[in-house]
Amino acid sequence: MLLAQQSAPGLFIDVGVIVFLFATLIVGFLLRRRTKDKIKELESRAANLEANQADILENLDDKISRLKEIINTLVMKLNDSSKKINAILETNETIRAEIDRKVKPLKASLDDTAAKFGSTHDSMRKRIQQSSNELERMAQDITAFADEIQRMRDFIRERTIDLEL
Amino acid sequence: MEEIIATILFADLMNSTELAKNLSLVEYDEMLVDFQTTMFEVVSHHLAHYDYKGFGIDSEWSIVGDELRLFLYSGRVRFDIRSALLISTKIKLAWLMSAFNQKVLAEGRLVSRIGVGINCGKVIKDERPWRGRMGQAHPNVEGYAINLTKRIEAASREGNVYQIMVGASLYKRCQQNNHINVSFSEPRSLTFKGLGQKIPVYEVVSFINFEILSSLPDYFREGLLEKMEYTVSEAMPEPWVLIILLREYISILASGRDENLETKAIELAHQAAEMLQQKPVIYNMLGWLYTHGKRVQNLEMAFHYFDQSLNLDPKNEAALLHRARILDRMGQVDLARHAYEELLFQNRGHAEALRKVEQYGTGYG
Repeated sequence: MLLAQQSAPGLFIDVGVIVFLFATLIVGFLLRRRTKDKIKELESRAANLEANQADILENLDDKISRLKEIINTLVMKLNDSSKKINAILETNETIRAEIDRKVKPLKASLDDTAAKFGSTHDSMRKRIQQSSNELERMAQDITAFADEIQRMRDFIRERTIDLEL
Repeated sequence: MEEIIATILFADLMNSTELAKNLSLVEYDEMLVDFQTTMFEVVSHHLAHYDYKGFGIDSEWSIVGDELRLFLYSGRVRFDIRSALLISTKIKLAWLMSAFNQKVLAEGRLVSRIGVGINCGKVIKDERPWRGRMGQAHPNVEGYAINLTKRIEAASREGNVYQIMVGASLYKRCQQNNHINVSFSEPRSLTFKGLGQKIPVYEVVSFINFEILSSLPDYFREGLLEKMEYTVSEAMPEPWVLIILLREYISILASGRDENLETKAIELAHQAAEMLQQKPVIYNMLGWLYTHGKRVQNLEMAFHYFDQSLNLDPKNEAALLHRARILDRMGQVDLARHAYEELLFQNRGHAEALRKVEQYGTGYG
């Protein structure tokens, strides 16, 4: 009766609220269960991680030890090389000093030769200049000589005519 | 003191006393200045051109009033004679072309002339102490030959061609060598005041030398040819200028400078042949023009003129030589050989004639 007394829209709202409450309960239950599963999984992973970290630390120590050995070896080799380089440098210094000693007179000689060459070059240049001037003068002389010969030829021709008239 | 052979030249203005009478003192002085300047320029240039040292070493000269005195004693008498002849001709030419005479010529009056006397002979070359005291320390020459030359110069007024008179000594020296082409008139025996005997003098009637013009100072040569042409085209031309002008034309033609002169030269030569008594040299010039001319070449005409020259002067070496050459060119071998032999008869050492006769195979010698 009660239901019968109630109007139709009010009935529908009540039903809807009841369905909603049931659905909420179900969803709440499902979420709680899922959260529990996740926590379990996380705990499991954490345990795995702890186990793995120990392994990694153990491996890392090994690797560091090996690296140390390698570095030590390298340091030793480096020391050896340094000694050798120093030795080479010392030898080089001796050689350089020896070369210097030997090259010094050669260099002086070369400097002297260079100076002489410079002087000779200047002298040659002057001589070439002089030769050039001389050639120019000779060319002028030759021209003058040719003119003189022409004058002489003219003179002889005219003198001959004088005596043949 | 030194005895040397000197060639002596005296030159002075003819009729200067008459000129002095007719001209004012200033005009006469202007004429004298012109004359003296002309003499100075020509003589100083000539002596320098021919390397005379002067200062009494090989020559000395002076100009006093209207007179030029020149003494040459380089030690080469032939050279000195040639120089004296050149100077004589050059001073005459330069004076004829002077401003004074060009003015006279333009007015149609008679030009003023220079008379020249040349001779050579022994003189004494010495330094006179009194000259040294006058500041003229160089030696000078004295002697009878100088007095004689002055008399010879006075006789130049009687000449009618070059009015250059020479003494017997110079004449003989010129005849002895054939290196100076100079011809003289027949001798004139003149009695000179103070000499007491007749002295033969000869007038130069032709003097062929290309250096007359070429050795003049440059500024004299400027326009000289035109002035000479003007002079000979006047009513009373100076006959000796014709010879110099013709010789210059021949020089121009021989050097190839102007072929157009050929006809002009032939016309002038004909004019000269009419005017001059000394024709052989003019005929030789005509012969040369017809032989060497490019446009007027005519060997027959050339031969004719050389023949004419030989008719007047059979010993004329130049004409004999040209005649022989023409016959040779014409292929007249026998006649050419004969002509060369004739030349050898006159001059046994003539190189070209000897060579040609040998070529013809006569073995003349």
